[in-house]
Amino acid sequence: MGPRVFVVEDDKQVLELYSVILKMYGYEIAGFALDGKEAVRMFEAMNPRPDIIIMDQRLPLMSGVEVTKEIMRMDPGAKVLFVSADANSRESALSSGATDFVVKPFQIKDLITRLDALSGKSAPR
Amino acid sequence: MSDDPIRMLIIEDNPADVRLVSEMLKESRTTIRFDVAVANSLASALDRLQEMNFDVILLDLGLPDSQGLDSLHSLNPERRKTPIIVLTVLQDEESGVKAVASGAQDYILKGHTEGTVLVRSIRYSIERKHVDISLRESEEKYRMLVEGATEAIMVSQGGILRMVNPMVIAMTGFSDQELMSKPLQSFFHPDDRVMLRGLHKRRLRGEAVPTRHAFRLIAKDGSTKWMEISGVSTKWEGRPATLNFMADITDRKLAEEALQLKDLAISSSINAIAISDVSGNLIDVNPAFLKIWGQEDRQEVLGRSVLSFWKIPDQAQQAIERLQVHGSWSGEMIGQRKDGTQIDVQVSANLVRDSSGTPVALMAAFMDITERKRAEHDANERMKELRAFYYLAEIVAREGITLEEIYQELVGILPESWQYPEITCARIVLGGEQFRTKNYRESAWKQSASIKVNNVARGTIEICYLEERPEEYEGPFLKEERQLIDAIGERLGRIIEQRVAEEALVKRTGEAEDAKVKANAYFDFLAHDISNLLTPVMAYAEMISFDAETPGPSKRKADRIVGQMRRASSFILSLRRLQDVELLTQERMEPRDLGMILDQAVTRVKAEYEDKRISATVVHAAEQVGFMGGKHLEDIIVGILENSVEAAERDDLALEVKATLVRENDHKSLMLELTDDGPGIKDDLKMCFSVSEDPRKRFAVGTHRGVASSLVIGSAIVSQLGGELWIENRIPGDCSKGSRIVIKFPEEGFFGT
Repeated sequence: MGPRVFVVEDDKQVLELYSVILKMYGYEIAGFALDGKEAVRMFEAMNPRPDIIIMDQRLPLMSGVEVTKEIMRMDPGAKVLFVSADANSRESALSSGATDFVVKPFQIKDLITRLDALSGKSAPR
Repeated sequence: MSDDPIRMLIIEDNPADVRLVSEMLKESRTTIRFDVAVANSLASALDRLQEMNFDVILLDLGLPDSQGLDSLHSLNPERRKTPIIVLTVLQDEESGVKAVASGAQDYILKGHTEGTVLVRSIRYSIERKHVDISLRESEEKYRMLVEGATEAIMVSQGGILRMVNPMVIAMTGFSDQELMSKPLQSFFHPDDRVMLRGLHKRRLRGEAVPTRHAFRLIAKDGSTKWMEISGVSTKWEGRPATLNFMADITDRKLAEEALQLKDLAISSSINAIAISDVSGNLIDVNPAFLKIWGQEDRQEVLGRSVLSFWKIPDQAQQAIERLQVHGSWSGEMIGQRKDGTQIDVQVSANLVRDSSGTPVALMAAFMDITERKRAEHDANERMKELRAFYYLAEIVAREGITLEEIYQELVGILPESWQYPEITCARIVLGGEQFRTKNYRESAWKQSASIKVNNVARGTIEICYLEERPEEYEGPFLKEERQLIDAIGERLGRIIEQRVAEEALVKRTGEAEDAKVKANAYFDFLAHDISNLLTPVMAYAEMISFDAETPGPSKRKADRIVGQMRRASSFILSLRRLQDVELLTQERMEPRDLGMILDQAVTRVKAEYEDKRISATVVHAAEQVGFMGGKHLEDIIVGILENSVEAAERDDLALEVKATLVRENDHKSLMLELTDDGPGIKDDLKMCFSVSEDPRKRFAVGTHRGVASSLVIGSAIVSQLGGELWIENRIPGDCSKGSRIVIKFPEEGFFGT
C-alpha cells in the first residue's frame, strides 16, 4: 500500500489527472472533495487520517487556505501540499500551515518529487 | 473915505486945551467933519468908551486922576481898536515918544502943531490902527492855523529847520530847540536820506518834483515813523526856503502793508478764493480759482454771478441764502468749468461784515476734490466688487452646496453691490430655470450680462432698478456696475465649468476604478482558469512523452507541447507578478539576504534546465537588502536568466550574476548585472527597455518583436518598484557576443549592510 492522499480539487479534469498520476506513482487515493466544506467534513471523519493532502486554493464555499487552517487545527501534523494556479497565494498558503506549494500547471516529475519528499519515499533533490 | 463924521473923544481936563484942539481943526479948513466928545478925567473917559465907539482918542497925559503914561496904559492901547493920539507939551516930547512905543499911534505937541498936521495925524492914526488890527487879526489867524493844525508844518532853509509847529514836536518827540539845532538829515531814516536830498535839490532848482512823497523818520524814542510830506518853495526872512506839510502815515503804511500781505496771501493760495458782493457778483478771485474753473481771463470772471459756476445754480443759491442767515456755509457741490467739464468742489464760505456788523461781501474758499471723490468712489465700488466676490467664493466653498443653491444665494447678495440696494432686484436665468430676489420685477432700468459656459452663452444675470435714478454710464448704472455684472457672469460661468468638470472627473475616476477592478478580476479569472485548463494538457503530454511505447516522433511532439505549456504558464506567472506589484504600493521593506536570493535564483534556473550545461557564477557584496516588492527579486532574476537560456538555443551557456552597492554623489544604489554569453540583443531592441519609454510601447515592442515576455514584464516590474532596467552588450561594441541586463534600484528602494 502506498501513501494515502486526500485530494481537494473542484476541477473534475484536474481531479481525474491526479487519480491517474497518483496511481501511476504508487499512491493511494484516500478520498477527494469538490468543495471546501466537504473537505473539512471528510477530513474530520477520516480514520485513519491521510498521509498527504493535496489542496487547491480556489474552492467553492471555503478557500484552500481556510480549509488548511481547519485541518491544521484538527491535526497539526497533517502534511498539506498546496497546488494552485494562483501563484500569489503561495505565502498565505505556507503561513496557514501548508508544507509545500506547487504552481499549476505543474510538471508531473515536479509534483511527484514534492509528494515523495512529504511521504518520505525519497529525499527531495 | 466915507462922509461920516469922525467920532473923536478928547480926554482933557483943561478947557483951554480943548478949545485949542477945536481951533486947530478949524484952522486946518478940512472938509472932514468931527463929532467931538470931551472927558475931563480918565474915569469919565472910560465911562464914555463903555457907552459908545469912537474913531479916535486924543489923550492928555496930565489928568486929575491919572498922570503920564499910566493914563495911556489904563486905556490899553494895544488891544483897543480905537487909535490913541497923545497930547503933550514941547518940554515933555519924550513922553510922547514913549507913548508911541507903548501903543499910541502918534503924539501931538500942544501949541506947536498946525491944524493940518493934527488932522493928518488923526487920519493916519485911524488908518494905521485899521492896518494894525487887520494885521494882528491875520497873524492871529495864521498863528492859530499853524499852531492848531493837525498837520505838522515846518519851514526848512539850508538843511535846517527854521520853524516848526507843535504837531512836529508831537510827532517826532523832539523839542523845538532840538529840531532847529540839528541838520534836517539827521532826523531821516538812513535809507531815505539820499532820496530826500535829491528831491530837495531838484525842488530848489525849480524842477517839477512830486508834491507829496513818503519817507521815514526816526523819532526821539528811536521808532521809525512813516511820514508823508509835501513842500512848496517860499521865502523865509528874505531867503529861499521850503514850507513843508507833514502827516504821520505810519498807521496807514502798516495797514497798507498788511493789506498787501493779505492780497499776496490770497493770490498765492493753493485754495481757490473768491470774494463777491453780498448779492453774489464776483469782486475778486485768485489765480487758483481761475485754474480750477479752467478760466484764463480774470476780467471775464469778475462781475459774474457766483451761481454761474455751478452745475445746479439752485443749490448754490440755497448755499448763499444759508450763508446770509448763518454767516457761514460749507459743503460740497459740483462745479461747471469753462469747457463744460465738471469738478467736485469743497466750499467753505463766510459772510464778511464791516465794523458796524453790516454784511459787505461774501468770501469763499474752494478746493478741487474731484480726484479724491473719484478715488473714494473707485474704492467704494471696488469694495462692493470684492464683497460680492467674497460672498460668492464663500457660497461656492460651502460643503455640498448645489449649483442651484449657489444661483439662489448669489441672486440674494447681488443688490447689495449696486448703488441703490433698496430699489434693486436681481434674477439669474439659467438652463430654463429662474432664480430671483423676492422683489424681482422687470423695469425700464435694467442691466444684464450673459453667463458663458465654455464660451457658449447658457444664461443671464439681470439687475433692475425699481425706480428711476439719475443717468449715469449705462442708464442709471455706473461703469463699475457694468464691469461687476460682467465679472460675476464670467465668474459664475467658470464656477459652472469647474463644477461640471469636477463631476465628470469624479465620474471618470469612478469608472476608471471600476474598470481597473473589473480588469483585475477578469485577469485573475482568466489566469487561474487557463492555468487549471493547461494543467491536464501539460501532464498528459508529459505522460505520452514518458511512455516507453510512444514512438520517437510522437514523443518529440509531446515534448514540444510540454515546452509550449511551460512557456505559457511562465508567461501567466510573470503577468500575475506584475499585477501583484501594481497592487502592492506600501509593502514594508524587509531586509532580505541578497546572497541567498541570488543563489536560489541560479539554482532554480539550473534545475529548470538540468539537461543543459549551464555554468553560473554569483558575485555579491551586500548581504542584506530591503526594497519594495523585495519578494519579487528572485522571480525577476529567474525570469531574466531563463529568458537568456531560452534565447541561447545552445546547451552550454555561461551565466554571471553580480550584485554591487554603488555610491554616486551620496546616493546609494543596488546594481544587479545579469550577464550571459548568448547571442545578444540587437541595439534597437535594447532601446525599448529604457525606463523613460512609455510602458505601453514597451509591451507592444516586446510582444511584436519576439523579445521574451519575462524580460518585458521584468522591466515593467522593476520600473514599478522605482528601479531602472537596461541592456548592455557583454563585450562593449559587439551586440552578438552576449548581453548584460542591468537592474538598478535607488537608495530608498533598499538598504545594504
